Amino acid sequence: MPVTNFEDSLRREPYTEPRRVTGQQIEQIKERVAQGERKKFHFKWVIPVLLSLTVLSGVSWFNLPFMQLPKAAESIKMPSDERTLRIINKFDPDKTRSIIHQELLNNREILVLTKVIKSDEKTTLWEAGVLNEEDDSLRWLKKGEVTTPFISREQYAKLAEKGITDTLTHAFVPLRDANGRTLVIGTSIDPHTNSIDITDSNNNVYKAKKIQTSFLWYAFLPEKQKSEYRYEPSREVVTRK
Amino acid sequence: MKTAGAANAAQEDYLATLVSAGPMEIEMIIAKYWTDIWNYAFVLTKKHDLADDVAQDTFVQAFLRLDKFRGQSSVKTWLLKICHNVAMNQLKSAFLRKIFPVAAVRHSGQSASAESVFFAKTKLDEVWENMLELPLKHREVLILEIKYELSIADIADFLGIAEGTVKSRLHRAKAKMRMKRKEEE
Repeated sequence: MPVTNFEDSLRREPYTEPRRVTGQQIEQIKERVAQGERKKFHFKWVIPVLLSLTVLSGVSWFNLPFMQLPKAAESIKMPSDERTLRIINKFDPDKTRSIIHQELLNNREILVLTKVIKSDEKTTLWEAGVLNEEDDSLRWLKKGEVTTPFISREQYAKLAEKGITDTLTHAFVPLRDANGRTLVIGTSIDPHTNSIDITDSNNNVYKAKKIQTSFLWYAFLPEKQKSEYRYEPSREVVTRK
Repeated sequence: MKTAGAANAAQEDYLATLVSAGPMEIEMIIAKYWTDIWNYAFVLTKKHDLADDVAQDTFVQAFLRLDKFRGQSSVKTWLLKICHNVAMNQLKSAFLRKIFPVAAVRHSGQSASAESVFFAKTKLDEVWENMLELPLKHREVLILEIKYELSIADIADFLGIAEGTVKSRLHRAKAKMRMKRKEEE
């Protein structure tokens, strides 16, 4: 081999047999990714939960009268993401989806937002639906969806340059919360957008929460003409519902 | 070739729109990039078991931070960058472990015998052997340019150093390699 031509060898593999990944290593990576997500979730809640426990123990120590709270009405129990996924797949088995968000709507319904990757159509489908308690079991009812196309790097760069308003999508979903407001869901691909300001014709502003680690946002809006609302991205982080 | 290129581009676009990876995406990405990432980890660490750990950590970190990937660089470059950071941290902690011996946690789960069986069957290329004798800062720029085909500007950006520094390191690395090859012959 000529002295100067070491480059060709460096372009090839270091060993005669390339070091391939084993099934065991893939499983360990998957497990650690899942654990990492659980850890993040766990850490996020440790401090507020500990604080709440401290306050509660302080209150009970002084035996204050408002500790005698009336018993709350029995409410539907929030299932784990895995259980929700199993329930949804029972009713609609043809999609590979992940759970993006769950929250109690009222005593009998849980709002569920999901993501479905459609590689063949190069789109992501975002579903909104409810888990409904009937005869002591949960049923999935899909209520609405929005679709976002996969975008290329060039398109993304152009959109970022042009402004993020054009990248907002939204759809009204026939689903109401306990106060009778209607659900609207939408997407924003801009990673800097943390919430959406929705302004009605009287200049009342409603904040839509963007779900962390997702493009999806949602809000419950008072019943009005859909065209009366204007949507603008915001960097403000919404911490409350 | 055109089809493969288009498929690659579509895959990278697809990753740019993902914010978290499911089991299918995880397997697809690992299968595609494992060898490249393992080779780079091996260049940085010079140890098989450490390269296994670094490659695994790289993918774990990448999947946990998938929402940060927005397609500004290729998936491979993005993974290489994570690999570089993971390897530097591993090397630092390996240095500390040498000074303060503590029990190291092994993530790879590969038994030493399985490794020895694999590496008994395979042989390290002698040019690679020469390259691994170079100091880290030289072998890193060399491999990023030659094997991973990054430009001088990309390497500078990747390592957070000036382009002039990259050029001079490359120049020295190549000169040392030529000298080593001459000695071998």
